[in-house]
This record gives sequence, C-alpha cells and structure tokens, in this order.
Amino acid sequence: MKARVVASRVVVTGVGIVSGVCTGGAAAIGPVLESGRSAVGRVTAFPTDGLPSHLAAELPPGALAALVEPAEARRLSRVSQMTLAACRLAVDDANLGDLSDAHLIVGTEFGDLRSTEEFAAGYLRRGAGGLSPLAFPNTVMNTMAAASAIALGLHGSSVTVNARRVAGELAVGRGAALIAGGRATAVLAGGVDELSPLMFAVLARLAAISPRGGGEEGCRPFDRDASGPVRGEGATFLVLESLEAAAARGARALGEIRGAAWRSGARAAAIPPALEAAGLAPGDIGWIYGSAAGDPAQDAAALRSIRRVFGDAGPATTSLAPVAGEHAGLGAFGVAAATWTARAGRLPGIASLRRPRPAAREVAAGPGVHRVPVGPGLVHGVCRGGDDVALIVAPMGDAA
Amino acid sequence: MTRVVVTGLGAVSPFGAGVKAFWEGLASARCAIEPLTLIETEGFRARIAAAVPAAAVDRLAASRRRSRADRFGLAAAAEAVEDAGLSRAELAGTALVVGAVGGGMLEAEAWYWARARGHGGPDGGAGLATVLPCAHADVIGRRLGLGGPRETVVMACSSGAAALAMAADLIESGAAPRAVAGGVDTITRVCYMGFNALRLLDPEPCRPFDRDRRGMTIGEGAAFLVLESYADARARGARIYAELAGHAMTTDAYHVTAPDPEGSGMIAAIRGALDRARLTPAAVDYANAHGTGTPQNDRIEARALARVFGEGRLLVSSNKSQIGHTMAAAGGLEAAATVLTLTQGVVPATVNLTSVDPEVPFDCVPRVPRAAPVHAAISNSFGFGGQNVTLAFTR
Repeated sequence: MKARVVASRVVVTGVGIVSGVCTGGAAAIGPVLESGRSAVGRVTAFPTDGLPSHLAAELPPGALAALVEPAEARRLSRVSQMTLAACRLAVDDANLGDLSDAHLIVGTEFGDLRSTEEFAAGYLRRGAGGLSPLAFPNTVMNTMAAASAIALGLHGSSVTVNARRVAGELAVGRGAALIAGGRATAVLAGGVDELSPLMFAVLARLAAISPRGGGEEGCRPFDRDASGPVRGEGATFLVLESLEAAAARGARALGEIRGAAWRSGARAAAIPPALEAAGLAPGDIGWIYGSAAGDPAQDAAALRSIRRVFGDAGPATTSLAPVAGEHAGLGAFGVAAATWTARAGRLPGIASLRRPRPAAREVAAGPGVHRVPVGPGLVHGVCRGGDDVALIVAPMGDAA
Repeated sequence: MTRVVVTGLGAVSPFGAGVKAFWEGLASARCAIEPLTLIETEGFRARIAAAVPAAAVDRLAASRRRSRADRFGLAAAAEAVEDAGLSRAELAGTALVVGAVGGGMLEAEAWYWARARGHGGPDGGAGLATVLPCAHADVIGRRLGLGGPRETVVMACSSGAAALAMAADLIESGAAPRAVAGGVDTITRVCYMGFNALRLLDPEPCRPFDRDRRGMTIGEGAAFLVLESYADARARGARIYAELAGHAMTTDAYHVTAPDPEGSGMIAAIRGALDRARLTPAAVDYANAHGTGTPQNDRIEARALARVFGEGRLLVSSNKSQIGHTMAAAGGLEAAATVLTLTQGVVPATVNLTSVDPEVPFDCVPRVPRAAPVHAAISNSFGFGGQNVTLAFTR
C-alpha cells in the first residue's frame, strides 16, 4: 500500500479533564498522577442495594456546578454538562480564541442513557402526554456534541463516535488524522460517559463489572485476583492543532501525536501501522498507557497485542482505569497523561497491582511512580475481538 | 489526491431487501408509507411509517444475538461486498464505517417496557447486549471478515452520510485502500414518540416541498456502499459505478432541533463538497435533497440550494416522499439512490407532491421520475444538532 498522506504534524495544545480524580487543565495531571490517588469508592449518587457491585469512580458532588453556568446547568443534561465543561477547560488551557473553524469529535460508549431512560419513563408513566419534546434530542448520542458546539460557537464538523472501551482513543485518533491529512487545523477530541443507575444495575447483573459473580470487588488490571472492571465517569478533551497553526499563534505545545492507527477484528494490530506513521521502531517506545481494566480476557488480549510487537520484555505498561474508572473519557485522559510522561519521564504505576499474572510480570508497572525514558510512548486501547487503537505520543522537539 | 470511487452497493429498504427492489421501487414512483404495526401507535398524531416489509425481514439471516437493525445492516453490507466482488484477503484490509443511531433500541425497549409493566427479567439479557449503535459494526465486521479501521458514527439524521464522508477520509489519507460504509436504523418507540412529541410527523404520508406539507414520516432500512481508491479499483478490475468526488461536514451551532434559518451551515457543507470535488455549481445537474417534509427544513434547504446553485435549473427531489425518513440509514440509502441516478439516467420523483411551495424555486420532479442525463449530483443530509453533510458524486 502506498505511503500515508501526512500534510501536517499534530500537537496537543490544551487539555480539559473532568473526572473523579481531578478537574482542570494540563497542570492538573502531574500532581494527581504523582499522588497515587484514586477516585474509586462506594457509589453515593444512587443506591446499589441488592446489586452485586457497589464501586465506581464518581465525579465529586458539586464538581460540575463550578464549571458550567447556572442556565446551562438547567438546560443541559448532566453528560452534556461534563462534555462542555471539559471542552471549555481544554480551550482555556490552549488559550484558543476563535473556534468557528474548529472540529469536535466526541467518543462515548453509553451516550446520554440517563435522558433516554427518563424520556421513555415519561411515556410509561403518563402515556403520550408524558413525553418531553425537549428531552427527545438527548436520546441520540450526538446530543453532547450538539450542545457543546452550540455553546462554543464551533462550526466545523461535530462527530460522535461510539465504541466499546476505546471510544476516547478512537476520537483522539480520528482528530489527529484530520489534522495530519490537512482537513483541519484545530480539533477538540476526547471522550465522555456518565454513571447512570440503569446502566450500573444492568452491567452489575450481567456480571460485566467487578466482582463478576465472585472475588473481591475492585479494579485490578494484570492481577491474578482481577475480578472485572470498575466503571467511572467524566470527560476529557484535548485541543489538537497542526504544528504550523500552533506555532503561528505562539501556542504552548504539550506534546505531539506522532502516529495514530486503528484496526479491528480478531487479529487486529494497530501498533505496527502507528509506529510506521510515526517513523519509529518498537525499541523507540519507552512506556505504555494501556487499556487494561481488570477484565482478565480483555487484559490478556491487550497484552497479546503489545507482546506481538515488543516481545516478552516490553516497555513498562500502566493503566489509568484504577485511577478514574472505565469510561470513554479515560482514553483521552491517557493521551493527556502521556504528554506529561513523555516530558517528565515519570510513569504512574498500577497502585492496585499485588499479584501480577505471569504473562504481565515483565511489563506491568506496579505501585508507585516509575522512572521511564523521556521520549515517545504508546497509548493503546483494546476491545477484545473488536477494536485495537494505537496512538504514539512524543515530547515536542523529539521529532525535530 | 486519492480519488474515491463506488464499486459496490447494498440496501434493505421499505421496498424490501436488495438494491434491485430499492431502485425498482424508486423508479416506479411507489410510496412505501403504510399504517405502522411494528410498535404501539395508540394515542399518537401520526400512525404511519415506511417499515421494511415483514416478508423481507423474515428472509434476512437471523440470530438471537442480532437486533432487527443488525440484520438490516448485515444484509446490506453483505450485498455491497458481494456486488464489489471483494476477496477474503481484500476484505481483511477493508475499513468499516457505520452510521447509526438507534442500535438495538427496539429490542431493549421491549425489555424495558415489559419490566415497567411488571413482567420481564431484571437484567435485560440479549436485548441489552445489542443496544449500542456500535453493535452493528461488531456484527458486520465479524461476519464479513473486515479487519481495517472500524468506526461507528452517530450524527442523528446525517449519520449515514457522515459514515461515507469519514470512510472517504480514511481512503484519502491512506489508512485503508477501501471501505464498506453507510447507515442503518430501525423504527423504535423512542424515535417514533420523540418525533411525535416534537410535532414533526405528518399524519398523512409526507409531502416534501409541497405548499401544504405538515411534517415527515419515519422509515427504516440500511444501505452500504463499497468505497475504494480509484487506483485499487482499477488494479483489481472492479466495476466503477461513480466517483465520490467530494464531501464536507459542518455544524450550524444554532439550535438542537431547528436548523439555522439562514442555512449557513447547509450552504457551507454544499460549497465544501463542491470545492473538494472541484465542481462548479453549474456542473451539478441534480440534488438528492434531505427534503424531510417539515415546513422548516424544506424551506431552508431550498434557500440554501438557491444560494449555491441559483434558482431554477437544478433538479431537486426527495426519496423521503417514497421511503420516509430512514434516519441514520437515510444518508446511505440516498447516497445509493444518487449513485443509481447517475448510472441509470433516471431522477427519482418527489411523490405526493401536488402544489410546489412557492418558496422552493426548483423543479422538484413531482410524482413521475424523469429520464435525464445526470453527470454530477449532490446528496444532502442534515441532522439534529445542526450536523450537516453533503456528498458530491460524479459519473
């Protein structure tokens, strides 16, 4: 196949994080990852009595109220508020003024499920007269993108991508590809999901989340005692710009997305094409933010994908799932964290890791913060049998 | 720049399964809108829709783990792949981009309704396993052995067109040599109730561009196109239907459900697609309109078309007059119809159109299809949230 078209280098100029563990711009990342904090705790927003699961990484109460205007809080659903808040934080962090030509890519797994349920419940309670016309648009997953584009005055494309487990990584990858291909100069890309009582109850009863019918509840990637993922909620968005556009406005660049690729199917392998796009070899990668979240089969699939490229003793691999819970914002959080690691040479380990699975022993980064090479690393999202997404993140100057 | 061509078509429409049934329905000016029996309609203003006929649904491959929408999507994508004559090895590197909204909502609703009425299991089981829009891509990708980039795009009523635009991006950037792309949706209780609650549904079959139009009619179906780089299509000796010469996506950022009254987002999408296709407005013969039949959409879309193309000359018609608004599938089905218009030299009619709105300064091909040579055509799709997509096809 012919070479990829690369019209422009892609830099990250802003970060906006709304999560259980922290809220803010790029400056919030280092301190929270150095601290080893986790937002995983007993669910407080709704009762979990009678369910097998009780843990999640929730946004702190009141976190959103500080980030959106009261009028927006009245008008927008909670997940749209998260999206808008994270987008605004990212735009402020990037000091980006005019968004009229910018594009928006929102990754989500569950969309606005809470509004969908409320809309249907209105009918079931009161018949056709119980339906809220204002709530109906929220039943479509593009509602967060639509609400945010309106609030931000953004007139480029506004795209919502839906995927299991990797929607955030996919959104960032597509955003990077838009810029690399010369189709855009500025893209807001990231992911969002919220915890809703219905979603939590269904996942708990289907044994899709920890403790999956046995064992101790908790998020333990790569651990022999792993008992399933723990859900989180929040939104993380990045401002991606072409290097020329960022330089022209004197923007600070936090890092560069050197390569992005996504593939699908049982033998999906996105890392090799991402490395090729970055012009790097496996040995150039110093660390990995993976998507392991404590589902043994998913984690094993992620490890296989990594080992096929890097061998048995690959780069130190971590996961932010125990920090902020599994949600589509986490993929973009990982890219934001990767820009920090690429600059600082610091990788937060997996605080919950006690008894690594044999296959992970050589690579899984245990508790504490690890020294890793300053330089390029990998953000890797995997959904077993489905998608494999690879993003190569490097510090500025490395590629020069 | 990489040229992107169409080498395969597949459809499941209110005219039945297959591209042949779809085109025969369009070319014979039939209207597939009928009383809606798929879901309860008691107490609602509009009780009609364009559903895929039960006999056709029964013949689609079934599985307990596949929703009605999955079955539509898989049948249409499989037809497109077979039409394009792709080998297993070629499919392994092929991208898949699915435009979707409802996912397996119809089945999940059945569970939720039953639970709310006191009968039904607590966990939802299979109904919820297939509820997400991305479930279609999992089914299609796995069944057809597609191993390239896989994406599900949710852009309300422009989802299918967005999928085609995004697939073209993948090919143009070199991320994949070819892609299967399109849209799929079914009628669901939520969408039926929602459009009713917004009073956007016409109690009678919709009449796009008519002075007396009163709203849209919902429909369902799926359509997929095989898009391919021109070089790859030529290299394997594929039959080329048409070229997807340009595409553009814009956002109104105006209102969640109403289009910008100035149509500026629509105009930007149409101009963007023409620019990318290096087409002058004068070179375009036909617009396959979004044409929903709502008073607002048709007036604003006509104004946007007039701003770009001038009044009069352009032929404009709406497939929705025949198959309803198939929502996330609309962009795919209407792209397929646009490609067939180019290859067949027949412009589908706007049926049910008796007195054209004086604010629509175009020949809307009323009631009877028109034989006309069409060298270049656009297909418009606009969704809630002001998410606009225009695709430009050439022969």
